[in-house]
Amino acid sequence: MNCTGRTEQIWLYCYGELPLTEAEELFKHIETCAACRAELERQRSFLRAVESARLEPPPELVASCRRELAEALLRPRGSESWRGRVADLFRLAGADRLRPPRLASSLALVAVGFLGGWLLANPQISLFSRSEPGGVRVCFIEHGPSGEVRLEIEESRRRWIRGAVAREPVRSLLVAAARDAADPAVRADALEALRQASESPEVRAVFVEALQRDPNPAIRLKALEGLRPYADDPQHRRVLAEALLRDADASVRVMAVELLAASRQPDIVETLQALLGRESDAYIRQRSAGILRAMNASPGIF
Amino acid sequence: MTCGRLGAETAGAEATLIRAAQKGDQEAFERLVRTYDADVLRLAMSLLRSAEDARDIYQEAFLRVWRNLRDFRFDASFQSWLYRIVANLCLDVLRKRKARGHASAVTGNGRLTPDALDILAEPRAEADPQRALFSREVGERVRSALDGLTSRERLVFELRHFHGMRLKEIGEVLGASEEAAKNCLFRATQKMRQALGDFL
Repeated sequence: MNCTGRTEQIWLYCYGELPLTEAEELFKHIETCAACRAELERQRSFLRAVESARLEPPPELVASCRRELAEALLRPRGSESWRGRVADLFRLAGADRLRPPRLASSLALVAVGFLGGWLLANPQISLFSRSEPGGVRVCFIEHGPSGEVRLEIEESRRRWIRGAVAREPVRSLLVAAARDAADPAVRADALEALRQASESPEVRAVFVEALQRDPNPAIRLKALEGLRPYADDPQHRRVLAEALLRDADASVRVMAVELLAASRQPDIVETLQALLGRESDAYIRQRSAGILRAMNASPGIF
Repeated sequence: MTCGRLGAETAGAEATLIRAAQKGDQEAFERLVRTYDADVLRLAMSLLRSAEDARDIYQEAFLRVWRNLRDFRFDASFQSWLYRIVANLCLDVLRKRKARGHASAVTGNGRLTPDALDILAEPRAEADPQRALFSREVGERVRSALDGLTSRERLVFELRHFHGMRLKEIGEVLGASEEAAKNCLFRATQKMRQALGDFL
């Protein structure tokens, strides 16, 4: 059996880089060669193992990077003067070909950047966030210094909406943005803003929904933050207990147990006892057992 | 030219965005940023194992793109051009770390430092906690094995495995031939398999 060069072929095949004719020829060989079949299986299991090392940037990091980039595009940075930055912007546009309207609009753009002093000073600026809540497109969310937010929405054209989070239409737009599956960074920003309006049942329902359904653990943690003030409420405690028992992400379960434990209400005992029998994370098990001990409760169900 | 990660949008649509951004259209530039920025961050995080360094790379890379976009001639894909900028910035950081005698943000036992751990997310969390735990262990072993590669091998490996780039595109990022990219990836894969050994 001639296996010379087969390892590289198998490897290229697994990477999808082997030409079709060579792949057909390789498979004819593999049908009759146990060693190459084993090598193909090893390479496949290697690829599966590598996949588990994939890192994903959390949406909050993406959102903050976008904010910083937006700020950097509007202001001088490092040794560069603001004139240099503006010159860069103009050079990009082709300064020698600038016509008055474009010059005016470019100047206006720069002016907007400098006029909004709070906009530059505030770390919550989100110029690069977008979502599509129910036909209206939320393009940007800005957090102002006094608790209000400013939203840019796109209907047939973009515009900014500014107002307190608890007031309409800002609240409804944020609720829609928090439910939007398109961009986790926008969902995170929207949930953060909505914490100011958490006295509204509708807003709390959004937190519950995000905790139960959002595929991204960072968003579920945001939702837990929003529910923190309501950790004593029986209805919300049930939601927290469900998250503690069922959430796939250990950091979400850690936060859920901390929120539930904070008020030491007796209903937590049953939840923690159920948890101890199934929890895989050592820290959560240890913490749960500690809480049960502090409450003079047994770690097991009898 | 490939259309990179624009998904439903075609290569032609991406070219239109690039041309608009070249003329100073900020909205077009934003769309380009939003199309690729999570990937840029992932690549920088993977190579540098530091959220703060990845954040710096993100900003510097896109500022360079903004400043130099008018010089982009469509000879390669936009994604390859962007990744080349990111890769060069990351390799510079790694070179500086090496010169300063710093290792990566990975401790002696192969575990990531808190800064790196801060940035780890589990987007495809397993429903089964046992399986999730095993998956996490395997992930740590693989990341530890990645530290045994040279910077160039690691870059090639990351681009192929976590960014789905073809060998030809990886060659464009490296400024090298497809064959050179293939050889580098082959070396990296062999080393990784050796390092993981019986764990597979």
